[in-house]
Amino acid sequence: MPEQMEQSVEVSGIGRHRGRIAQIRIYLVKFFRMFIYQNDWKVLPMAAAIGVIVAMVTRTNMFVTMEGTLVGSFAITLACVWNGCFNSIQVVCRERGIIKREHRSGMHISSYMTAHVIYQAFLCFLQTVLLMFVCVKAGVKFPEKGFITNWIYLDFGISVFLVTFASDMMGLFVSCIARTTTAAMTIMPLLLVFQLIFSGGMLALPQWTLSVSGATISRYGIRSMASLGDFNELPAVSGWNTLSKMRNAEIDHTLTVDDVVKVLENDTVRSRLSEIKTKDGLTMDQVADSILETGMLQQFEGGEYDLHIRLGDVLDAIGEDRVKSYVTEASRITGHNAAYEHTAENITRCWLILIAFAVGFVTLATISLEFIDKDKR
Amino acid sequence: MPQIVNVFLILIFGGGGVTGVISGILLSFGLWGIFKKCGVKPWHALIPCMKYYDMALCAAREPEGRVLFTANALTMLGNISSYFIPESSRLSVLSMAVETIGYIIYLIFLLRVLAALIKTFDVRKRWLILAFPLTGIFTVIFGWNKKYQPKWKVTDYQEQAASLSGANAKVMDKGLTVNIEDRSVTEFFKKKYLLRDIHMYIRPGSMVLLLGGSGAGKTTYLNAVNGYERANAKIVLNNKNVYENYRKMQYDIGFVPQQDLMRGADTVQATLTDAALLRLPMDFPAALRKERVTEVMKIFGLEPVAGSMVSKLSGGQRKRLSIAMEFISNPSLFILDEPDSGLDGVMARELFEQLRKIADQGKIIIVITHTPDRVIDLFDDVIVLAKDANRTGRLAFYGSIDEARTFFGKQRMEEIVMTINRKEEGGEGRADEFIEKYTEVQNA
Repeated sequence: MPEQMEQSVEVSGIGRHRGRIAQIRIYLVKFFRMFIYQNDWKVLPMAAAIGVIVAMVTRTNMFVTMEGTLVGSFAITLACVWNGCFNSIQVVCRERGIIKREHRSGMHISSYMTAHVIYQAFLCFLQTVLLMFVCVKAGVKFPEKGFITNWIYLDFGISVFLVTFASDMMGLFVSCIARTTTAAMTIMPLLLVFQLIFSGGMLALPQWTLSVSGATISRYGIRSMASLGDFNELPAVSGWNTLSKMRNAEIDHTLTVDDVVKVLENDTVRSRLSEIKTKDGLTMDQVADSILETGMLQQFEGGEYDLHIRLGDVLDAIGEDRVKSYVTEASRITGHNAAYEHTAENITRCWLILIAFAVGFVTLATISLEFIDKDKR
Repeated sequence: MPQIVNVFLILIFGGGGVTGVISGILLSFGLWGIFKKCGVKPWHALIPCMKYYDMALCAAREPEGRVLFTANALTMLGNISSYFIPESSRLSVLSMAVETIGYIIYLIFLLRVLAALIKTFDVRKRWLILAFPLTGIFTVIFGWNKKYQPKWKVTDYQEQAASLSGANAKVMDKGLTVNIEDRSVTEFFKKKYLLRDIHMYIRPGSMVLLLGGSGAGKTTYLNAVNGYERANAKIVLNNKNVYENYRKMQYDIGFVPQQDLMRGADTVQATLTDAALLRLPMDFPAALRKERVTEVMKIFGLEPVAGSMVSKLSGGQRKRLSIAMEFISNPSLFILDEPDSGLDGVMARELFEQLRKIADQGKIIIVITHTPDRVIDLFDDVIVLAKDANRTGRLAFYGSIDEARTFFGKQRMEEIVMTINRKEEGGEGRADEFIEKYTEVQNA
């Protein structure tokens, strides 16, 4: 160690020190510097890899069918939640001791947190760009026109960014309240499961859990993405897919003439029959009328007939395309969800809620970190 | 059985039904005997939750006792609420969750406390096989069989501590005056004193050794002095009250923590530049700031590694960087918590010589070290903190190194620590004797 101890620079710690704004700059520069030197940059390739996996699953049906859009929105939202959480879950707790030391030396917690928010927003932005790029390259069929802006990629990108950022802030909050990285990583799976289950994207939730679901970022992520894809106007194919897989299923039933008459006289059935035309140009309800009027069925009254038929034969008799279009349309009507309404109001509302989540988590995170001095040694 | 009876049984015996009542009676009866043997009020065995806390006290496991108390309360709460909440209600899920979580924690901590209680009674560990599933029977055996006696009593810890001095150190224009009345925390509804009755004046230019056994309150003392963890105290540095002017004075006090709390993925130069930006006043010109960083790097021998990552530095370099970060604002009071931990003798000596030079510039240096004898010639004074009978950190001595040797009748500082350490820590257990003796010196 050198012998020199003389100090040529006149220094005193007394005086006005850097305020909050100036400190934000110090930490921001530090974080960006460490983005390069530390392992933070690794979240980018990870985001791209997650994007590839999600895109592989969602590319064919996303924005094409109701089911595909819902699954795609769910998968992308969860990927965003994962990315966001993973970005920040350890950033504060891993340097808690350092923060305590710097706080003791005059660092403002609010400046430190603001710098983190800006830095994390930057990471989320890059991840959004990566995810969008991967989705486009993988052939996800985005709607042709934007809805809120004129560019659908921007609309969708805003949703992706907001979900990632809100989740990132949630991770930051956990990182602020957890004393150690182990504690933070123990909480993380719980958070993800909570987001997954209560998103309402895949599982039908009981009525009482709806308020709990309202506290998840994923719910609003799925809503905004499905709404952008005009979910309610897309065809629903799962009903028809199931039906067509059952072509070889056999129907065994014992029919009486009364059963047939009741069916033919049913108003709903008749209105549906009126939409189906025979090869001769007659509608099916006209055929039914003539059967009923001619009294053809009365001669078989009291008799029981075993019906033994393949579902495929029924479909062929009615006409597969007709049944398909009917089932698809009926499924679409059943699948209609007001939460996924393709309106600017709905989408912007989701965005605002996601922003509110982010602001709320940052506020809680900052408040909790202000108590860092109370940490037990 | 009507709900209200069940609730009553749970509250009194800790469980409903015949089994619950029998095991509850056995436990309370057994604990009554154990509490009597261990010097705890026996009737505490009848108070729900509290009996578990006191059982942990008997086992000298007070922190576990707190958790056990809370876990038992949670389990009871969940159990009782299940009688009032219909199964169809979603609240029943919550009540079940509370009860389950509480019960898991209860079991784990009960196991810990029972294992410690077995140690207290100095019997074989295999007793745990009976104690854990049949706690009631275990407590009855150990509570009422005269063959089993505890190694210590809770009252052993409640011996009379040394009296308070009532002294007050005089405030001087220069130097550091410490008058700590007490530093306390409230834990589990009880006020616990961490430090009491510490009064001293430290001259500028002094390098002071802070000595004390584990848990004597050394770090608490340092934190109280630098204002980070405030005590009921008046700390005056160069005629300025540290607590009243904390925001301004925090830059005039450098605190180097025990661990090297720096970001490993930053360079030495960047670390010091950021430290300078944070610690130096705003009106300090940028050019001078740069010069100061270079100067400090030179002083602490960090110039050759200026561009290196902190994570790549050796233990000694890292320690020097940690000190340099605080030294950058040229503080009047410099506090170091075990700066030589992890350093070999030569490096530690070099570091302390460096600190001596800083002290010679009129600064006050207070250092905690666990290997003081190899560098004792560099120190002017020594502060000796010791745990009194109440486990409170007290001042056992403050004065020059030679005076300390005479006062304690020991040549080496490490021998002084052994003298004041408690017997269960392998020491001589003479802390209260020396605290009392020093109190008399102060009052003389």
